[in-house]
Amino acid sequence: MSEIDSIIAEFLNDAPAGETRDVINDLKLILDQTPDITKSIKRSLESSLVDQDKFEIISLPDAKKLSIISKYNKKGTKFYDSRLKKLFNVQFLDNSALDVEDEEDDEESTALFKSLATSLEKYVSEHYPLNNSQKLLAFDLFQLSATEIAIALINTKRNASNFINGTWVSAYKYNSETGVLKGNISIDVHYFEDGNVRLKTSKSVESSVAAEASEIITLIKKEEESYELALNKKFLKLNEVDFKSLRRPLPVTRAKVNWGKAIGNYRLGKDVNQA
Amino acid sequence: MLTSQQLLLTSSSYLNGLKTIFINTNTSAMSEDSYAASIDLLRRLDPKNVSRNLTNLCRLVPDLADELLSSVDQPLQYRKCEESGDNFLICDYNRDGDSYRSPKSNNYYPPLSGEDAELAPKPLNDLRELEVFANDSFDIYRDLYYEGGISSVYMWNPNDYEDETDINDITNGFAAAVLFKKESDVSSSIWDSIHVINAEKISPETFIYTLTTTIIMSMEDSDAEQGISLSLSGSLTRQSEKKAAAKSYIDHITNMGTLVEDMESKLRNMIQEVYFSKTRDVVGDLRTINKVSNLYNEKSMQSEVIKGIQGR
Repeated sequence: MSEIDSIIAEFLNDAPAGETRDVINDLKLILDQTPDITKSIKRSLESSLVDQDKFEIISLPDAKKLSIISKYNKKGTKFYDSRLKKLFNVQFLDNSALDVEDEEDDEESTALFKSLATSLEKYVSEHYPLNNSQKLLAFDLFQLSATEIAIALINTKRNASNFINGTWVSAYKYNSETGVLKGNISIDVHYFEDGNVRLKTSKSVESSVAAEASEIITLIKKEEESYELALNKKFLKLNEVDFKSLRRPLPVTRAKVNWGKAIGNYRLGKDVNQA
Repeated sequence: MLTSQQLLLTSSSYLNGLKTIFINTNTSAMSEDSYAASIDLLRRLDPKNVSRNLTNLCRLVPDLADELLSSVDQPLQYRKCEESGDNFLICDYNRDGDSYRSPKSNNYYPPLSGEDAELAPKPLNDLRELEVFANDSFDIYRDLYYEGGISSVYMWNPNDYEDETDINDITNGFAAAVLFKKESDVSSSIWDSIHVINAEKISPETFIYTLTTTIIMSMEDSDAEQGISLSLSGSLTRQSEKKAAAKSYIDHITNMGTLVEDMESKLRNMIQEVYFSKTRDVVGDLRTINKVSNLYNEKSMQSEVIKGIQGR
């Protein structure tokens, strides 16, 4: 990989959720003299989704539900949506789907897979609200092998008029042989009104659970809820302890500074107190 | 090296968003687009990595490196003044080559020699007197609000002097950078304040002070036991201005001091709102702890109650 390619990959990887197209437009303007720039961007996008743990939401033509692109649902050269039972190709540059075809139920699908699909749908509808136009939600599960199932969920909020975007991604793998659920939850929030503020947080999950759909979903719910509650506590502590230790709202005197010639008196007062 | 006036221009151009003022008259439209796109890109990428992203961007477009480095705010760094033994903050406004001027001793570190030493800008007379008083005053302010940390103030003359006018003369105006850095002593949190002020005389004894402030703040709270990592970082920029009478350098510092104090109070509230409320609200919007159906019931119950009250 050339130096330019690796910088492009790093920039795209650093892009806030939902702003990948904006970053691509910037890169095209910045590097408009560089040959094959589009190819390099395309390669980076594809590799982050196919080789790494990145997830993207995509809309299939005429579909009522949104689909996921990730390494977990790559099937040959295409991607698979198990809820729509469709195979599709992806144009990474503009994130569009093409060559969509029907694909009947995977023969390998286990009984656990089928009951998990039902439980997951119910759980998502209870905790991932979708009652406004700023939201995009996609979730799916994939039979990786006879004993392994992947579960992925992405919920994004785009609110450009209030200069804020956010994404929640949950990704798990359950192995019915070892009975271990392993995964990662990550949250990325970007605020950008006359500034650039970013919250990036994640939690890793690893726990044993019986090969029962309801048990697995209960565990996921417990992990996600405890993460959210822990985050609330962390925010409170950062605000009340860390933030306060940086700059006071007012001096100890509770009055604004008395500027001017007499400002040196503060120092005299301090010296007297210390003496 | 860029002159201070050029630096002030590029700085305000960054703050005006994409409406850029170019200092090189021969800058082509192509690089103007790349510059605007570079600034937009840095506004989107993770602010925690701003220094690394800026370096990478300069590698991609070396022609824009000078402009980008002088117009993008980065977390402040400091150096030690060997003469006074104190630390001082460094930025483009006290830089000459690889050396930085200490506001305490007025010396460059590492020391400059020969022609470099002669050509490096060094405020003297009135301008230096104002700078020294500003450093003393803002250091007391730092102590009162930050209870620690470092402050540094740098001054220069932004006016264009083609004739023999003294650059240390402040009768028609001056420019200043007021910097604060505080590292928390209870955590890894860091606060950097960067204030750039342009004081311009508009009538005898009346000045207009234009202020552009950027506050960079970063916090981390990771927890191996819970398997949680968290980073909250970024910067906010706002502008303000004030018209005020000034007959002496003490008046100037009072005018600048109240302007900076009000802006820091306003931005501190804004930071609290954005960092701790807005981001958390988005998280709660993405996944609700309560069941969605319960939330709907609660909402419809609330509207029933409101209807009931209104119906009375």
